[in-house]
Amino acid sequence: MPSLLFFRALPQSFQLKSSVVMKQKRITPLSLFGFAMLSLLFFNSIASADSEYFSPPRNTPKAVAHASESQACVEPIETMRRQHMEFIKHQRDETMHKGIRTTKYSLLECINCHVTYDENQQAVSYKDEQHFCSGCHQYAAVNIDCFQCHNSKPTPSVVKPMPGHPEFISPITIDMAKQAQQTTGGASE
Amino acid sequence: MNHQVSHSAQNEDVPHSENARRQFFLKVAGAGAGLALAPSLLLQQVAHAKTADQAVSKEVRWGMLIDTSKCAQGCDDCVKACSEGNGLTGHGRPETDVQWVRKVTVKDKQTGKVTSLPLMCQHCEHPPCVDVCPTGASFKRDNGIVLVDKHICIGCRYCMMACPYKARSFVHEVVEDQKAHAPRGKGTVESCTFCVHKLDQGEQPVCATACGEDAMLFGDLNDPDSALSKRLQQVSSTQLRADMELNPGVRYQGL
Amino acid sequence: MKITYSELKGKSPGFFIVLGVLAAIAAIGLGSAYYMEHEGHHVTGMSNQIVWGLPHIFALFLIVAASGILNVASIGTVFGKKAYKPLGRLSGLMAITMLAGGLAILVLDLGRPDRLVVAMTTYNFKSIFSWNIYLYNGFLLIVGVYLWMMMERKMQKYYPYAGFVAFIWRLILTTGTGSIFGFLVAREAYDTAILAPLFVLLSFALGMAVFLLYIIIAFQSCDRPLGDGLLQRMKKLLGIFVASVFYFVVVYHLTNLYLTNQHAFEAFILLNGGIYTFLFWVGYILIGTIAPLAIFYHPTFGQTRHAVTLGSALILVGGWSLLYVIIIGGQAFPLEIFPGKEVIESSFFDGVVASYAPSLWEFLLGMAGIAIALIATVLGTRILPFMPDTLDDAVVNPQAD
Ligand code: HEC
Ligand code: HEC
Ligand code: HEC
Repeated sequence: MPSLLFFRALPQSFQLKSSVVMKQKRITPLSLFGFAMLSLLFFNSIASADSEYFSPPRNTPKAVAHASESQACVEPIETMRRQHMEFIKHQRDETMHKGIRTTKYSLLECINCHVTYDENQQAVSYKDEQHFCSGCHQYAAVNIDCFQCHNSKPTPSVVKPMPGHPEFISPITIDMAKQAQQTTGGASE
Repeated sequence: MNHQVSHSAQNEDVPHSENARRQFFLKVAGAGAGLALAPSLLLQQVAHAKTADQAVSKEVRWGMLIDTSKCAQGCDDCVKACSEGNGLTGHGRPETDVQWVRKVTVKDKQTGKVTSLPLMCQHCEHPPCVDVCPTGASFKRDNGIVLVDKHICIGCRYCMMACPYKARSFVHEVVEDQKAHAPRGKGTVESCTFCVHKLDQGEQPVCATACGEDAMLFGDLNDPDSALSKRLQQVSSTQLRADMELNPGVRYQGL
Repeated sequence: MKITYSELKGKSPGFFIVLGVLAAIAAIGLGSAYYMEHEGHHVTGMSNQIVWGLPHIFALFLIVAASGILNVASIGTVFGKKAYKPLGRLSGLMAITMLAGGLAILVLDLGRPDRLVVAMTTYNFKSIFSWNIYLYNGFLLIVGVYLWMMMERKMQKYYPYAGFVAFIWRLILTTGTGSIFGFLVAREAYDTAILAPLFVLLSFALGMAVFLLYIIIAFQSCDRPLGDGLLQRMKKLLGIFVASVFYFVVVYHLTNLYLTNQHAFEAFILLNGGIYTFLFWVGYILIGTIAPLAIFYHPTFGQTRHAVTLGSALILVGGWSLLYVIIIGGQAFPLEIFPGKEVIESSFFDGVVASYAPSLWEFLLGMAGIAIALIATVLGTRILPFMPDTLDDAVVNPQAD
């Protein structure tokens, strides 16, 4: 592994750097170079840890679909696990700047579909680790600021628990015309 | 200061407009299911209403004419509707609480005439807030509305320094339980959005619909057939601080 | 005689006490920044009327001073005044540290300091504010290179060029800082081009005053000789700077008085603005301009070292007051949204003078910026040879051209 080799070389470059400073008391290009290499190494190790070794926890709460029990996510699960941030961030810019309001990748819709209720049949907010987005992010040590502004609870007029069945929510009538137009196609098409 | 709306390229014959009209009706018809939408809530400019998957277009410029003669002193229905509709909760601290629209009463120094009016973001054609914003968070949409992209706003408040109308507020406190369609949170700047989440779906801003006196006429400044443009052709209207040549989208009648 | 430089020894208890106290101030300030961030800005005195408050005054004070401090090096390099050359290194170092301190305050006062990366990566090129981000970063870089060329023997032949670039850059930088305000068309106080040269001159004065104070204290506490002849020479220059700032302030107010629509604003600052009027006349004019000039040019007291110390300190008070009047006073004065009309009712403080009571937190944050700048300076002189071993008049020859 190349990074390991790098690590072995590390103490030497350290010595090099400090001896230069000690003897000449000057900032020399060499020490700058050493510093740059060190920081490269540092960032490199962080970046690789993130992308390659993450596997999602098994216990993410199941989405409570508001249309029907058999409804799936907006993309295949594998794709969602890897790319959900790209979808929402793309949607975010499309909505903000171009006024595109398709529902497929809308954050609002994620929240309204991925609902978790506590014992009292209250939808939990992102502060609760039961929350769909939070549990997984806590596990993966991802920090998102979205819910400082976006409400992390479902919209009450659209989503509410079914009496006696805290697992499920009352199905709301889906307006077919709207559905056809709004759920197809990503924000770009 | 009689202002004539400039008519830019008209889009009567834009190919998609017929299609859009049909889709729009479909959508309205389908919006049933308990969601009875009064026709008055919908924009008159059917040809310009966009569907959810369409990008906003330069051919539209949203604007508003406020008839101050109808605006009653002491009435703040529009302010209440705005706070309710966008979830602007105050903390009883008027100096730091946000206000997207406010009521102001002024008296002419010469004649003594007293006028009451709502004041909000004027959605300028040349907005100073957009010019100064270091990150580009302050921006103007193609359809003329001036917004803050709160995702890249760093909260430097330079736009508030630049705005001649003091139309912007900084969120000074933590916000909880926001309205689902109006995300907002501590540390960013915000202002009237013309209820962009409604507008994008073909509905009017809540202040305009809440005004019992119909003093706020909302519409497309670029469409010569819109009720707004027609009214602007007939009556004399004022832009606030017209001397700055910002060409605001909000105009006042009887000021 | 040859000038030699060396690091501070940094072994005395005094050295550690100074650092300890500064670190404590910085820590307290960072703590209060965290508190403001956590609670939201409502715990500060700032509001939707006064959107920039005490932190911005401290920040601009440091930024303006930073670019002024570099003058000392420029006078040596660009204008070839030999007496100033031994001070070049320290001047470059302090320019960097003061700017860093000022920027730290600005960043910590943002509504979303966590988005600093956004500020560094997304630019709106129309905004004078983002030009400033470039100007600041460029300044740090250029002065760094300048210092390196000054200190590395092999590079010394290039350093006059670096000095020239740095000099030009610092002029642009302060012009840019002044223009942050000058471009605000909506505000009566700021919509004038004269703010930019005013800031440049202010930077000369504040920078020189800060620098004088620092070397007087630092050389004294390290037991390194510092000649009075040199101080007197720099004092004279400082006096000229102070007088030029005053000239620009006068022009600024005279042009405003000439424009009829600015009369109300002028009356506010000069006559009936309460704290702003007080700070202008007492803080800036009396303490910050008349008193130091009187002290500097006093035939006997003026020749002493105490005169230089006292005068420089008063100039800092004056500059701070002037910034307060410009920044806060300019915002407190109501915006003219309805010309020819008088606001009789508003829920958003239209038409009335906005009140501002700075909070302790803002003050502590501002102090932290100063502390950070000083810590960096002290540590810098501890690690690398920035300070001359002696600036005795016999060594430097203060009359040298
Ligand atoms: C119509 C309902 C619905 C919507 C809308 C929806 N999802 Fe899903 N999502 C599901 C279902 C059902 C699953 C499968 C859950 C399971 O089997 O555990 C799922 C799975 C996921 C997973 C994988 C979870 C795991 O266990 O690895 C992620 C990540 C995800 N969704 C993110 C999103 C995001 C982000 C959005 C918004 C763009 C979104 N979803 C919108 C229903 C939905
Ligand atoms: C400072 C407040 C704030 C933060 C933080 C924030 N948003 Fe937003 N977001 C908004 C606003 C305001 C809108 C515009 C809403 C509108 O126009 O309807 C918006 C709209 C959106 C939209 C389009 C509307 C929708 O529901 O689909 C998406 C997607 C979105 N944001 C994603 C995100 C993501 C992802 C994050 C976190 C990385 C985030 N936002 C963080 C304020 C914020
Ligand atoms: C299956 C686990 C999982 C679930 C469930 C999940 N996320 Fe993520 N999310 C991740 C991981 C892992 C990353 C980091 C990916 C990376 O950095 O490469 C991430 C990153 C993000 C980012 C980008 C963060 C950044 O700083 O760039 C956003 C935004 C985001 N998620 C939003 C959501 C939202 C909203 C939900 C709930 C609807 C959600 N996620 C649910 C695993 C998950």
